[in-house]
Amino acid sequence: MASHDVVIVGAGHNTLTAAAYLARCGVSVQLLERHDQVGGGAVSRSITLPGFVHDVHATGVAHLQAHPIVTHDELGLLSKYGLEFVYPDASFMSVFEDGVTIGCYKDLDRTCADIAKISQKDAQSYRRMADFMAQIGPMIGMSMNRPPGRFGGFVALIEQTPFGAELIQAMLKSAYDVIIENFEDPRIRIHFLKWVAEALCGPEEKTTGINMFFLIGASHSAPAGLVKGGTQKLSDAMLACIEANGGSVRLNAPVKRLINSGGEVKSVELESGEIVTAKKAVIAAIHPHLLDRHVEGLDAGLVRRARSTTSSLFAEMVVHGALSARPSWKVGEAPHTALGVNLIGEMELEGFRRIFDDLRYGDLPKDYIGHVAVHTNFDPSRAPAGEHTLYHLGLAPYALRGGAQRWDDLKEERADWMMAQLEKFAPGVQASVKARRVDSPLDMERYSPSFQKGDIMGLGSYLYQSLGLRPTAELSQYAVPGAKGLYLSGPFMHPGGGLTGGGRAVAMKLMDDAGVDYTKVILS
Amino acid sequence: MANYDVIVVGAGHNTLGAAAYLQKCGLKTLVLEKNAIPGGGVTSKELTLPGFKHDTHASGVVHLQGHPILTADELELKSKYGLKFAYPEASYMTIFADGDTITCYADLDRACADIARYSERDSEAYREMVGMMGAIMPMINMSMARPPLPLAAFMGMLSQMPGGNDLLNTMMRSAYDVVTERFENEKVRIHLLKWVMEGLNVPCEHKTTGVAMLYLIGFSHSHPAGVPVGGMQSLTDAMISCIKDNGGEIRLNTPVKRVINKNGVAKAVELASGEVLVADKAVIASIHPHLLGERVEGLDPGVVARAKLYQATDFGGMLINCALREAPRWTHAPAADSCLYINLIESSDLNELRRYADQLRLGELPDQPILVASNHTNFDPTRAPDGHHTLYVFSWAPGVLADGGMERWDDIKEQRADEVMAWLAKFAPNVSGDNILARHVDSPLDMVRHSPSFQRGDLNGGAMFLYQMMGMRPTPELAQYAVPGAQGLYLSGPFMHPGGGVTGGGRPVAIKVMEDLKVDYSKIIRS
Repeated sequence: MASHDVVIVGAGHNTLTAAAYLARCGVSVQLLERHDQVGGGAVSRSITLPGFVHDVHATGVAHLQAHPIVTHDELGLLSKYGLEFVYPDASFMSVFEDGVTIGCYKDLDRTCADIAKISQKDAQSYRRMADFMAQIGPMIGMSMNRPPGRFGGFVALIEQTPFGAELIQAMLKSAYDVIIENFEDPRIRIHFLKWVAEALCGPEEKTTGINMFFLIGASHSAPAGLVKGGTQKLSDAMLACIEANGGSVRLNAPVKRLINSGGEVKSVELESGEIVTAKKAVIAAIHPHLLDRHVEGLDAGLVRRARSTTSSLFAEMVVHGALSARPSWKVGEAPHTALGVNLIGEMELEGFRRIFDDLRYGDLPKDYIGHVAVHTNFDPSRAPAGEHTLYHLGLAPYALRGGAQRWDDLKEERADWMMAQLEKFAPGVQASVKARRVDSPLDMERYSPSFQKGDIMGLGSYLYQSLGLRPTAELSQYAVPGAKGLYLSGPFMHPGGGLTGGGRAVAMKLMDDAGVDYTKVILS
Repeated sequence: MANYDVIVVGAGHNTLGAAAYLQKCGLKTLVLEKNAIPGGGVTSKELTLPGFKHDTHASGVVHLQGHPILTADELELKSKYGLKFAYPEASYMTIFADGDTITCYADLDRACADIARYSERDSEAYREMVGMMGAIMPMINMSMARPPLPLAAFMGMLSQMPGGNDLLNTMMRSAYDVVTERFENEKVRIHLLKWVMEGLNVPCEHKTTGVAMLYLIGFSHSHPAGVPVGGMQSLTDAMISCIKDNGGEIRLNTPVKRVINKNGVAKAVELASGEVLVADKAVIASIHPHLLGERVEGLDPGVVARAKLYQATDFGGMLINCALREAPRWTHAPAADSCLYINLIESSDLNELRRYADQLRLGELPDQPILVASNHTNFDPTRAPDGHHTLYVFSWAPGVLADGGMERWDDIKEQRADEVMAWLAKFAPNVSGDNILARHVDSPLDMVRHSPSFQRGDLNGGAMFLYQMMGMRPTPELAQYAVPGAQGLYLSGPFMHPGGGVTGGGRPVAIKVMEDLKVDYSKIIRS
């Protein structure tokens, strides 16, 4: 006998969000999570030494800052469930090996002034793009937090706005095209190219050009924050909201399959053999590449199209460090004001481009570009007094030449190389590492099946996998044709990877279908 | 009172097409051409020895086969002005160094059978893709022969059609994504991807090239490529006959210095000689977007700046035309004698093809030549003296070299041509020594000198990326052929919709001009 309205498979960021919205709207939910901790990609653990809290995957909360979860506190996370953010002055800063720094600050004028130190013209271009985004930002923001519109309709709508044609061209161009057209200084160009590459698309990949506009827009309207106590606190706040509203989670409860009975899915089978049944619906975090493995009886064409979705061009590896002292940047204190610090080894634009060619072929790049965050700069609670955490990302191919399995043998050696590169920017940092933990793209895939091919974005953020086409047109509305009652949720669905509060749209869709009134909770 | 209704600047394939349509519909036209020979990219010359006719740029007619110029003979080029085609059995093939070949015969069953020798599954995938395109080929052909739709509207329309989202998705993916997902055999993959790169002159890993894969495959079987008898020049000559027969005029060796824009009206041109010619109704000019600001004064700086951002392709190529004593003998590949475009590739490793594309993208010459060869005299013996042959060898190369820019081409072209020919001889050993009676080499720089439409060595007149197609080619505000701020001026060339190649692109320009002028063209242009 079903005891809950909705059973939810996976307690990751997106499914937790969906569960919290449903619970707040009076729908009873049961979450099933295979790990011993909720959060999926939004987790923190003491993976190095006791007392050091590390964000294992997602860190820094950007998209959510413009989401009604934060702007309207729709779930009460801020007012009731203990969620707190700290906001660094700069969301990121590029540091070049020769000592040049360029920051991206919340304040647009300060950002432009920093760019103008190097190029007056580039600062003007940046301001033009930021002003442009300020005009259309609200429309874009709203489209992120609701079920996606039809792709064709969205594109036609954009075409009607001022600058619409330019924006559509940008959507189809590469970020590289957009950056080269708008900025002239080689360093400024690399500064932005590295930034857009954080979406895990190659800068030269067409249909990613819009990302540059989005990043600029978000940086100044809703700059990124850091969750006090670790990203886990965001997941914990969501769980508190769910539990306060009568929902519950079962940890260590891996699900084997969804039971499709006569075209209807209302039950799941746990690996233990136990069957859990929902009264109304099942929401599941099932990556499109795994759809047929977990749900039987689906149309073969639908399965093929789901399987043909493309992963991001490359993945990342991360080195977590417990540090006895704060890194001492060669360029001085400035990087300590930034949430993320992008480190650019000595290279010309051409060398930068070749890094992404290496990644395409499954080679480890020979040149270094890294991303470092010292969260304890803003949130000392994450380490014992006077000590610090290090979060050090490097670009890495998932499918190494010779196979992804090679990662287990290679990752420590690669981490050594990354740390030796970092040493050039922060002398002494290696000596300060008391313990470290290295995660390869293969480790990330093992951790969450949503990260197929190590892709923490779920799927590549290409235009043909955006909006009403993510992950495919027929699956984009969260419901699964041929499996009534089943809804998909995860980074591979609209609005995409990262901490996007993506479960809100799923909850809305489900409640629209089930005739649940959500207007008291969901205000916009 | 002017002597002409319309002055047309440039006698290239697109502008001549526009002039022919206008003239046939009763508008008096004058065409001005800077070169001694009309045709632009559609010319043939005796480049090597007397009696040997070589196509100097475009070679083989693909797109036009589905265009009303040929399907409805709207300009009577076939029925009245002597245009004839020979149709090879196969349009495109790949020869690998190990002797394997894959041939795209016009006959679909035969093409599939050839692929099935490598993979049954791939053969089925190929047939499925041809089927995907079959349903929409008429729509595509029509959209290419008329002024462009807004891109977003086109995408919106597509997403409403049955199966349309699948097509939309394929349009925006890379050909590499599409091919590696649907085809399993490495040689089949190379065969297909190389074809896309040759068709577009962009690396196959660029997203949005997926549509080209569909198009090429679909087109090969619905409208197989043909070779104009007598050389590409025959197509140009037929258009000129049509223009003259209907009362139009052409002046060769007449370079135009600028279009005169007076108070926002552009109906006159100034020749390099200083002479000013005035049209009664309109000027159609082949002005590459990068040159717009130079050739037409008084335009909005934003219009000019955006036109300058229009992107060229990653690579063009170097063309070697040879006069041969006897026909090439392709080792292991007798099928090549019935194929128009013969592609040679050494390696069966797809990564090597990707690497060459990367080199081209970065402005380097690929470590190994990548080339397509055509032996036109197999299909059209009139192009060489008795028993002799021509060979057309096009090898990919960046127009702008990372090391030395375009200028460096004059220094390196002969040496690079030697390398290309030596490499080709591995596949056809008799193309060497005294079998080569003479050769002529054109570098990307030479091509720009011939036609300013080929800026940066881009023979498509600008990259065929989705954001530079249809209502966005070359920029959204210029896409409808008219130029804001220069009333009466219309643009025509490969940089406009429908794009590079022999596409009959003058027809939509003529339609647009006549609609603006309220000229009834319904007796000539029926669809």
